[in-house]
Amino acid sequence: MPIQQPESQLATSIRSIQRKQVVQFLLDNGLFIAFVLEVTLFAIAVPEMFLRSRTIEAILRLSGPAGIVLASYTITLISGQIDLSTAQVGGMASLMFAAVFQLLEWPLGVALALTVVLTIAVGLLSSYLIQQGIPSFVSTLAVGVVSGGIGFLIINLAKQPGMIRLVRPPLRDIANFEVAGVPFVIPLMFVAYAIGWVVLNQTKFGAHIYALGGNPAAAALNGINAVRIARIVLVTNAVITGMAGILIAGRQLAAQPGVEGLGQSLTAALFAGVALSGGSGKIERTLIGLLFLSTLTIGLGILNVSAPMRQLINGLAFVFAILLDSIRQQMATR
Amino acid sequence: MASDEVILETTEVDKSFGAVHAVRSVSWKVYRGRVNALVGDNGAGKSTLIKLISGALQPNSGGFRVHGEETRIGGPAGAFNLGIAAVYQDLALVENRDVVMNMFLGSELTRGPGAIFLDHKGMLQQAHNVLDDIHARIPNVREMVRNLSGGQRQAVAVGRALIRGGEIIIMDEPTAALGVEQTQEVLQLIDTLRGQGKTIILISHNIQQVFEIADYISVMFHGEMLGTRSRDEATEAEVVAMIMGKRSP
Amino acid sequence: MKSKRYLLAALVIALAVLTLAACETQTVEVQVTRVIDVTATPRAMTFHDAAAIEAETAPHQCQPLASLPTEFSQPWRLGFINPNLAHPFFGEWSGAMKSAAEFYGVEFFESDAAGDYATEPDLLETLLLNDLSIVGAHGPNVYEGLALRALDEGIQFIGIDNGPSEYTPIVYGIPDGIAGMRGAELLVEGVRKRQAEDWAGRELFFIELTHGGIPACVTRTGSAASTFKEAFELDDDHVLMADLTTGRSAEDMVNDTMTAHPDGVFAMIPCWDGLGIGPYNAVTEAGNEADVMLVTLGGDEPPAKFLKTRPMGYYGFIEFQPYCEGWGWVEVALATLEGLPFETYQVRKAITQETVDQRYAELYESE
Ligand SMILES: Nc1ncnc2c1ncn2[C@@H]1O[C@H](COP(=O)(O)OP(=O)(O)OP(=O)(O)O)[C@@H](O)[C@H]1O
Ligand SMILES: [Mg+2]
Repeated sequence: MPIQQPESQLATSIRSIQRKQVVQFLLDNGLFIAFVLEVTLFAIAVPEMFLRSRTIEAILRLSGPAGIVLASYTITLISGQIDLSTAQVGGMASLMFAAVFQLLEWPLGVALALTVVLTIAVGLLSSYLIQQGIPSFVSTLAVGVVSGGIGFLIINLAKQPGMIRLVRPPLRDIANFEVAGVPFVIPLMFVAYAIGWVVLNQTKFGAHIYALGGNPAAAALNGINAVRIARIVLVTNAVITGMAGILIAGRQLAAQPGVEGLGQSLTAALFAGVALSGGSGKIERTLIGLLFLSTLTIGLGILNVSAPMRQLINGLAFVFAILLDSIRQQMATR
Repeated sequence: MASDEVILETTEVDKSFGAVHAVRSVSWKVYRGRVNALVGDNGAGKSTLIKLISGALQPNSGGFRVHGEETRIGGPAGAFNLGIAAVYQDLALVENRDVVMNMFLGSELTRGPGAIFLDHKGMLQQAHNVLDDIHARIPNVREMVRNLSGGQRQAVAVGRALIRGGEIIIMDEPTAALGVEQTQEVLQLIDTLRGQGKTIILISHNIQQVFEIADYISVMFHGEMLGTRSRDEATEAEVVAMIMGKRSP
Repeated sequence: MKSKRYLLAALVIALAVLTLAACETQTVEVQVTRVIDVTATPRAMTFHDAAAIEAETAPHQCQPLASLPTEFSQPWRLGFINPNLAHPFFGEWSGAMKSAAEFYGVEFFESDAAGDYATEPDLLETLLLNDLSIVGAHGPNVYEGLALRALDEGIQFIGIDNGPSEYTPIVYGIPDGIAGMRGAELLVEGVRKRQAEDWAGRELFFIELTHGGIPACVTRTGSAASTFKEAFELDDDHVLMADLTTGRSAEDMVNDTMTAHPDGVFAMIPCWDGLGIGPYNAVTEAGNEADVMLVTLGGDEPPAKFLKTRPMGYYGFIEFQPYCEGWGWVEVALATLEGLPFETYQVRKAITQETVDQRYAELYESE
């Protein structure tokens, strides 16, 4: 009899540990479960249309340029910086490129180089503001507004109707280049991810990025140069975002101020378990986060869900992603 | 103990934060291979003084002698080069990283050209060796630091100091947040380090603990260094009086 | 276990949204069995007649743009990216396209860019999954990219109000030159009336409200300006332009022009309704309503509603008849697929303060 008391207590504590493990398991693997669930749901709802290689290709097409950006965006987030300027920087870069390449008809290399210089400047501006002690999400928000302004300025100076046509070869052929029937941005995206993985996991720089994002004070006390890392990360992100903007513009044959799809990076990364506060997350998972969102877009499109409803669902996905992040934080500090 | 060798000395070191004069013209000797305790009331300036020594802060005036040589401590990296390594009050650990990466934080081993790629194997090996040396009980060095106990964390931070080649190891209130058992573990660790010839600077509020482990006891009061006593000559009452601001004759 | 409760709540929300989305779903016919009748012998073709279509499209009474057979060679599947279903003008397109597709017995798939042209390339990817025979969009910014992508899939692209380009040889939509001319003719009529009254002997200016970067606008308002200029034999100094590509608002530009010529009277034609009504309201606010006369181009519900309030200087509008424009797109698409000829879309209707009440009742108050 006396032996039963401690045993039942033990049982409750085991159950509580198990419960915690279940939640942790869901947090760690929820994305995969959700992705599988999502695919299953769409496959049941519209089997003939959904279960086709064409649909998969469409999902990958949507993910391509956004995925390239997401790879560097994930690294930025892990370093503790939230970059809210991607959509505008992508747009600005594509407009700059289009103005120089299409309207001035300068060589491709020159147009690319000028665009890279502009995006580097934008990245430097963000990192300068952050260095002044302004939080990254405020700094990059402001820089995003500036970039949008530069984009519109370019359009106005060029007297163009809200966009610049981009049809001059060879860009058109490069942007639409296909490898074995697949747009080359898709393999390029996987390459970007591979590079991102190596940087984060196999280099000293990556170790410092994790340290800086996880505990900036500790990183500084151990001789890690936070300013330098933030600068490299933000500049790289701006340049890659700019290049993705050009790729998108090249496919659309038009450069525009805002680039659709690049803004989803934050949702995708949070879904994948990258912490909003920085310092943790696995880059390979963000790819699944992105595929989840692209599949959602395509699936809802196939189901012919109305535009307001789609926007609502995208908004809720973002809310859900933030919520997940906060639950993860709570679990971590327990 | 009069024969003890001075390994580090501050000369009239001064530091202010705006109107707060945190460290006032402190001249202080730290003895080699000994546990040098630094005590004082809250806000006395202990943490500020050791941050000056470890290069985390720069003094407004005054200088340092290490191994008898006049020197400038140009920052954390400069301090490492002089063999000074601090274990800060908050340990400066990155919760989401594992034990190995924390021990090598900022001084990661690399391989290949350009010192770009991490030498994961080498770091793992060396982390094991260092932790074994200090008899740390950490079953899995791939465990995230966030899942470690207070004593284990202290060992990780000390391990980092040793990996840096720390000869002078500064520990700021290492037992402040720990229970009885883990406190004993840390004291054991300090003893082990002393046994290996390391110099230890220990900040503590626990007078009994200080008398238990320290060789020298220095007292700060309102930014000033009131004096240093050898443990064997000092009494607890005297030290407590000094902490309250009573200057000894 | 607080976090678990959060997680549960989040899951419930997600499920609720998915269910909602599922309910929201309009029934999509998944008709992938595309039967192509290879053994068919040449049939005697019968054609829809124009009167039937005029009756079918009442009260809009659209003229068919092509004579289409009652039976097509294949079960065609049409797709269109509507720029914004919530916009009354484009909403009319949508209703008309669906009705036309039903009338002609073909499948029609639509997606909604909800006002954001930048989303159209992504929407096209989804729309293409419906194995379309032809696709269209109103995407002034991106139509060439859309057309190229469609060609990639081996199908034609017919945009509305954009083109031509090397990817879309077919131009469909408002004939801009004619639309501008019709607008100017209506404005000339209105100005003549005023000149017989309070504008007698006043210095007359024409303001072209346009967007220099949109070719359609340049053609539209340019044709209006030259028609108007000729009618009143104005010199170049009296034909002014307010161009949005300068980065300034139309309201400011019009007000500044009027301030610069305090004794003048001003006749205006904008590229689209809103581009005229905005400055008109600004002028009214500045107390100069008596010195302007406006004719707009487009004429969907909002300008009609405004005209019903009898603003002193808003003479009328040229109605683009969005319903007929949408209906006609289906006919042009089907004619293209069948290899049949088709006509250009025409704008015919001029609405003034005298006719607006009746027209409004016809279009928006029936049933
Ligand atoms: N970065 C700083 N900026 C401004 N004032 C500071 C800063 N760091 C310390 N101080 C001030 O300097 C004085 C000495 O602080 P310090 O942290 O050195 O004291 P301490 O002896 O370590 O106290 P405790 O025992 O509470 O840790 C205090 O008044 C403190 O508020
Ligand atoms: Mg302190």
